[in-house]
Amino acid sequence: MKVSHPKTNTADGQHATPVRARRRMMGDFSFTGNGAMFVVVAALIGVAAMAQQINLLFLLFGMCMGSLLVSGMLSGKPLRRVRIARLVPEAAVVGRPFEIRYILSNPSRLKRAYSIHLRERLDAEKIRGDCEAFAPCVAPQQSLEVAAPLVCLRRGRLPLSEIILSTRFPFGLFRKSATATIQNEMIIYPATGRLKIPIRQPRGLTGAISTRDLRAGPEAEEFHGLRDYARGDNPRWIHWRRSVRIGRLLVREMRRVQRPQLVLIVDPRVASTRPEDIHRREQVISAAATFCLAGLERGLAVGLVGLTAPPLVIPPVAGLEHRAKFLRELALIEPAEQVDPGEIAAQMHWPPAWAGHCVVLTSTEDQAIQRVSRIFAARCRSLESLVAGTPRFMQAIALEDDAG
Amino acid sequence: MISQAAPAPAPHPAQPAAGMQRLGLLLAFLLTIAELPLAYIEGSVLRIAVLAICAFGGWWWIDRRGRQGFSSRIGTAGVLLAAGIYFVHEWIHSHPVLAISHFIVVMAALKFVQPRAARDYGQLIVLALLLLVIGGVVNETLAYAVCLSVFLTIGLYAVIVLHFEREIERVQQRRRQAGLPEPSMPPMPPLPSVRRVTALAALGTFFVGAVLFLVFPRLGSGLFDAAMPVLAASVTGYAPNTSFDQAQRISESDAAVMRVVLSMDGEPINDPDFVGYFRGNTADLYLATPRADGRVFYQWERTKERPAAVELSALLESHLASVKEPIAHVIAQHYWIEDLRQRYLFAIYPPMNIRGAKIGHYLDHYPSDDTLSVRGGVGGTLDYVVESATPYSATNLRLPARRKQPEPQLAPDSPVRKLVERIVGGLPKPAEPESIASAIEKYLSSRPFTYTLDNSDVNLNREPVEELLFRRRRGHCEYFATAMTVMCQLAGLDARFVTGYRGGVYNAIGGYYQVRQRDAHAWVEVLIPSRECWVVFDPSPASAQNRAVAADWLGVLRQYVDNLEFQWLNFVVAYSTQNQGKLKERVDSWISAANNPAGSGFGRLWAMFRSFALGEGLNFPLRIRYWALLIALVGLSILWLRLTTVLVVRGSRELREVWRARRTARVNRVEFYERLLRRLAREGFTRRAHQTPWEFAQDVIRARPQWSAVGQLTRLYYEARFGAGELNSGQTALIRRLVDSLG
Repeated sequence: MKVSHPKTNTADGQHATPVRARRRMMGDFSFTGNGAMFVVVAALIGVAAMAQQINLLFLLFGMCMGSLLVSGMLSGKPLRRVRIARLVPEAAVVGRPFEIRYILSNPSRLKRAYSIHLRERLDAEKIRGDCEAFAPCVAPQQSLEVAAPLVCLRRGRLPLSEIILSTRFPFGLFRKSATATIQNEMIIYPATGRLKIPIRQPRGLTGAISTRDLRAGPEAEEFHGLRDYARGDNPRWIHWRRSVRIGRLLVREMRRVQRPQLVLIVDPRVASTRPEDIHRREQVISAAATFCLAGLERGLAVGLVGLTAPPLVIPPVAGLEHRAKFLRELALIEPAEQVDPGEIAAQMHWPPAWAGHCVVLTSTEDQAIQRVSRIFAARCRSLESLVAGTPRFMQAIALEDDAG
Repeated sequence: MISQAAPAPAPHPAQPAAGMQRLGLLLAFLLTIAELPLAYIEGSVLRIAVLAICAFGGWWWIDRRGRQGFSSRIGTAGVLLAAGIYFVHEWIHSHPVLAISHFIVVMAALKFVQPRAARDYGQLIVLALLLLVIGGVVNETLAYAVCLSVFLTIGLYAVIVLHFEREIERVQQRRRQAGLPEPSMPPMPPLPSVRRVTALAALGTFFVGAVLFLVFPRLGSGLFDAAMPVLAASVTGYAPNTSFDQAQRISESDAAVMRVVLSMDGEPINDPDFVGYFRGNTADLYLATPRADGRVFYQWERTKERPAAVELSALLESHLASVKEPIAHVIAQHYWIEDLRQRYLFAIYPPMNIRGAKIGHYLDHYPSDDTLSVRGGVGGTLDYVVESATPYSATNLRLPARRKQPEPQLAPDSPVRKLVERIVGGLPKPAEPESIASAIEKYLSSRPFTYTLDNSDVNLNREPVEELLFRRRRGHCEYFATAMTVMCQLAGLDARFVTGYRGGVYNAIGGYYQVRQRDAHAWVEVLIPSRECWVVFDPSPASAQNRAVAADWLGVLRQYVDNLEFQWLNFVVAYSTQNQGKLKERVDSWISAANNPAGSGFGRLWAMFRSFALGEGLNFPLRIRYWALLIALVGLSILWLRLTTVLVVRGSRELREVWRARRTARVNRVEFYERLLRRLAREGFTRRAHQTPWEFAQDVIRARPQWSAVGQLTRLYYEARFGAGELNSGQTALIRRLVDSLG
């Protein structure tokens, strides 16, 4: 697929900025397995030629050496010639494949660049397989876009820095490589699953009965009733028709309608650094992400509290546009060291308006989390506690169990 | 928001990639080519046929048809069993080097009918290379050069194609193992560009190979020459030992045995009518040997004599010391013998000096008859130079002390004795040895004696000379030479039976004499005491020896081909330390000429260039300006060259585009659909009048689900027939591929 200039958007509309590579030729040169075998065969031919003084073997030996030399000369040129840009999506989800795209440009007027292999230098524990792509040929003064599929195994930041360009062209005898440094970063969102249970919505909506004024927030209001006019009321809200009928001034009284709220309390602590505990912690994060997405999709105002130091607090908000914000915070959430979550919860300012349904997600059920539950039970209308790995947790949520 | 690539469907194993198809075909061709030198040397048409059938059949069956091939277990077992049996058999009965080649051929043949991946193709390339290496050991003919050059181009092309296929396969395999989706791969490089790269690589490889070949140090002789047996290769008509125990018809062959460049006193001999007697071995004992079955057969043997191991230079010195008068003329002979099957070296009598890289420092010299032989074996092509005195002008060589020759073992009442007495009796008394020999020669070479190669009617129970002289009166050179030698010995002369080659065909293009199998000959040398030398007598009647070269285009072509082979032997196969020395001398002379302005044209040219480049004769400030101007001019020239190249390349690219557009326009018509209909009609599918093309295609696909290409072709037909625009080149290529896929 040839493109005339580097694109700034990926195929799915993800914005990305191409960065011109600052390449540094490392002079990385190594024999491949085939190359080593070829050298051995050529050496044997040379020895046979010397031993027997057979000119045709000398000729063949010369040809073998010639092909080695030609291979060495031809192989490095594409790397010196080509320019590279990387197109990365802003984010990806753990366990789900996505593509990093590369644009290889060949500024040469005449010569093609052949057989370029690209590989990202990434932490092997964070990804499955290799992030690599292969460009068989870049025509002169053309660009070629190649895609490298990738699956990330861990949430968090994925720094992209070094791209290793290598080639074994033309005979596969040598591998020459160069490193291009382009700084990029991706956020890997936690894996999400499917809620098996409905989100509990407390009966009776909390609503402050007040006369509507400019201080009213964006939340919807509805007509509640009429009352006598009092000094200081806004004359605009006087219900003139009823006032005339009754003979005294009445003003409209409005009731603020609050959305159903879902507040997620996430405890990212782990009992130990054993893999199963880490896995349970990731299940907690994934469950939180699942709750967030489900809540936002159902029109709830979702809030998020992370028991970290400093504590992560996202006030309850509604609307799908907030999805990325929640996922990003959950992707980056890390446990606080030597911090009592109960203490954090106790010290946290908790506005009375945040009084919806509360879900505490944790991987350890200890006294600290029981204290947290008690604190938030007092603040919210209802509270539900889910501990990763328990049957209740499994009944509540189905995760794509891909997280490492 | 989040990029999620849908996993691409994995390619069906029964659909080989087009690149692999091409590669399979290339390798089939490559292996057949690599096997040719071996098959040629062994004269084995069967093996090349088996390999070619397996290679091309395997390609057709697996690469083209997409079949699975034999199970790898069966294949492995087959390889081990067949190769083991073959290897043991060949190790016992044949040369081990050739046995290894048989082993490789079996492996390659089986590899071709097994399921393959890119790695297997790589192994096939290595096998082909090994076959070529063995070919280089046993075959030094021009056929090897042709195979090598074909291998160099096709092999490199195959390696480059394999490289791309392997890289793609490797990436896809790793993705598959990691459970990653497989996005579509970018297109492969266009074939013309791959061909250009191949040509560039082949040129570079050839150039570097040639330079290394020229400068790589040579030792002169191999380290293990004595340990390596001589390979029997090309057929020659020469046999150093002569016996008369078979009655058969001898067939003649035009196969070249050796090539000789002759010069007399430094001047090349370019006479097509020149007849040289290139002697190999001599024999002076005519023996009757009883067989186990009671019969007696006759043969020639040389007198038992221990050869003297002489140094090459010593041979000349010993001869020169014995010269009574200055040698009148010296004939230098440069021989290129394709494969010396025996140890005797050929030379015009009497040899004075010999030198050759492969011969080594010492050789065996038989002082009694100046026969030369090499010690141990000499593998492959042998080239050496012999200098001989002209036998009839430089005759004053002191003869070595002679032993009395024993009489030929003939019956006491043999009629041959009476015949000799009659011939000698007819000469004036006292008869000179030379006149006796001449009389016998004249007797034998005249009527009723005739020359023939058909000896099928020879009576083996009878003494061969009697059989010739008194019954058959016809025979070939060995009979006549035997008869004359025996008769001379009966007449009391010192005579010996000589075998070798006579004459040869002059190749005017290369300036050498091509000696063929049919030029093998036998003649007689008689000691003439008055001339103090051995004189050559050739009693064979005018034979059917064909020295004329056909004047038609085929004859000329043969001369050219033979000359090409000669040049190959001369400059490549027989390249030696002497050649390296000459090359070095030539380079040194160029360098010295360059340093000597007055010396030569090259030197003057170099001096002019130097003066121009350095600005000689200018003072310093002027010289600086001159250099600046020069640098600017050179820079501008480079820029101009670069721009011109770009313009030319772009222009040619545009021309190619125009040509491709025209070609596409030609193909864009709907002939392909008509071809498709004809193809389907052969398979029994005929489109009925009421059917639309699409309905017809559906019927076909329903009946033959594997022909899904018919559906695609029909859609392309609609597009070509009713679409607004022309089909593009990609669609055209797709049409070709789909039509080909239907077989």
